[in-house]
Amino acid sequence: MQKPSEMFPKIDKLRTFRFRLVAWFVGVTTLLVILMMVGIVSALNLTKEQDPPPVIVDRQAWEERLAEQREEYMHDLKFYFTIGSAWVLLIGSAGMYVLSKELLKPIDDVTYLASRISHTNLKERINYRGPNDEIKRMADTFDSMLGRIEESFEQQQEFIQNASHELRTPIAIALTNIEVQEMDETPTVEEYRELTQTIKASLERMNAVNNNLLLLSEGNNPKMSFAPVDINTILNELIRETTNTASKSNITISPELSDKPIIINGDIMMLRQCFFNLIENAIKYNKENGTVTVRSYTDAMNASVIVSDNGIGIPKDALPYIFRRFYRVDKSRSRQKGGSGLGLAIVEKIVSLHGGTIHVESELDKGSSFTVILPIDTVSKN
Amino acid sequence: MRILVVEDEQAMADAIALGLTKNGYAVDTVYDGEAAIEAVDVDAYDLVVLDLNLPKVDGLDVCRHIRDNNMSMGILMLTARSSTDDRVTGLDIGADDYLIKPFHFAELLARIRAILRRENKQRDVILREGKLTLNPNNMQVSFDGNPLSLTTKEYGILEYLLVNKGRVISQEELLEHIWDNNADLFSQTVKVHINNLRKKLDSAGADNIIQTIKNKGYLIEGNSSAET
Repeated sequence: MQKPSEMFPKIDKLRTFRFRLVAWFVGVTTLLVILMMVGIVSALNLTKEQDPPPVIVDRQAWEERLAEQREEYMHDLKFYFTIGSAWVLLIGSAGMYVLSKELLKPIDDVTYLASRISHTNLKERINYRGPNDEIKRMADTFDSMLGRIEESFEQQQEFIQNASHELRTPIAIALTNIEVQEMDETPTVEEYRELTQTIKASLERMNAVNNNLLLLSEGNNPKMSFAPVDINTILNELIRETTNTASKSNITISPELSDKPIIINGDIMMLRQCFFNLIENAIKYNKENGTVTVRSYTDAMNASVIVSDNGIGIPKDALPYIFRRFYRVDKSRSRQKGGSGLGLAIVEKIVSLHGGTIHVESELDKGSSFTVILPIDTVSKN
Repeated sequence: MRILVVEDEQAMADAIALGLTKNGYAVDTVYDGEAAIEAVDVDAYDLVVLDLNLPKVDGLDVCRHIRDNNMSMGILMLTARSSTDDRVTGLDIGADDYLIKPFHFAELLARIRAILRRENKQRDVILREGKLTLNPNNMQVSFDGNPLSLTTKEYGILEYLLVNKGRVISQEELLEHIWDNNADLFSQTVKVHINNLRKKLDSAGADNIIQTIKNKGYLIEGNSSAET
């Protein structure tokens, strides 16, 4: 265990030094003042005591004696003053040392507890019990900071675990297929072809996961090339591409696009991916014989795209989380449908990179509706 | 021996099934937990290779279902989850072993063999009956040191009879444990394979190792196995 002073040397030493200096200064000054007052009182007494006697026989002799007495008294006073102040200083410093130590103890406790907290036990808290003073406030702030660190640490770890899982599955598939093939001593060309296809599919899957992760990693804004694009052209192309997949489950895609082109300033590849993910989800989470409606319209400021379905819907308690990376409403169901849990997170990221907003309305077993609003005159957020 | 592979990634499940088939097991494959429960309820499997992350019914619930219903088949969990919690829970509710994906196929096979040995309370890796030996590790069968060339089904029948030495095995039981669901089943199937197996054993010198018990089934008696 590290000593507290090693953990936060600067803060600890600086605070202690300042604190002790002030304590010393106050203590010594107070004592000196007390001592001086004692001296002054004594001096006053002396003067009072030395009133001239009522009958002065020999004025000169009396004055000499008085001077002698004064000198003697001053000598004594100096002596006692020196001894006294040395003594008081000694006692005072000892007292002040003990006092300052005592006053700094809670800080020491906090420091010690803080030194025990590392990334492996972020659950520890100082839980300082004491009067609501500066130290208590410091400890409380420290605790709430730890809470925030712990939360973001957990999120980060979860993200890494999920990402690793997403990458490990295609690796496992490729590896197992290769090893099973290897058991065959005389594989045919056809078997090899099947194997390379499986491996290729695994590699493509890994590549897709990797690209998505890069796009989503925080603080890493992807390169974007902004140019005027027609939203309706993108939507029309996507509808054509996805109609085939949709018809396999008897799902109809019905476009309700605005008559005029909707030109916005954006990155065409990203916008394609954004709307593709929304349409793909609307097909995936639909029911047999369901419908996917893709609507677009515009006003002076914004272009709006609404992708809605009459599918399985999203439970109310899941709605706040659906844009989170790797969040799955029903993890097994969407995995079976080939989802990685990144689709909507990517949609949100792309929309926000274009300065737009997205919101969702959904009812369980009735369907979901995603509305994307993009400013027509997008300023690059890069 | 008959194995059920439960795995939602189809490419993965099919590869495992193919690999196991190549190693002499009868294999059925299902892709979700619901189908897995139905399969174990209907058919007699010797072992289930069970992925934990499954659609519809979770792998752990499948495991629980198997043990709650007193089914004694071995359970080998497959998991890509890095958390130890699932593995601990899985073992605690009755799974026999686990493998973390990605794994090496040789290890999967070795663990399956180990579970099957434990299931049959069998200490010796090599199955013996007199001078006849069967090594599950490389699927080698030999009599008096001379290797026999058996088909996968013949090997499966001989292994099953040797593992259950001293017990009469009915045709139905053999069908259940040596053939998978896709097999074209008719009553003569077992008889045909038994006859072929006997012919091969006879020509190697191992006469009458497999006895026929009328109206009951087949038996390897196992009295001469005392030799060590």
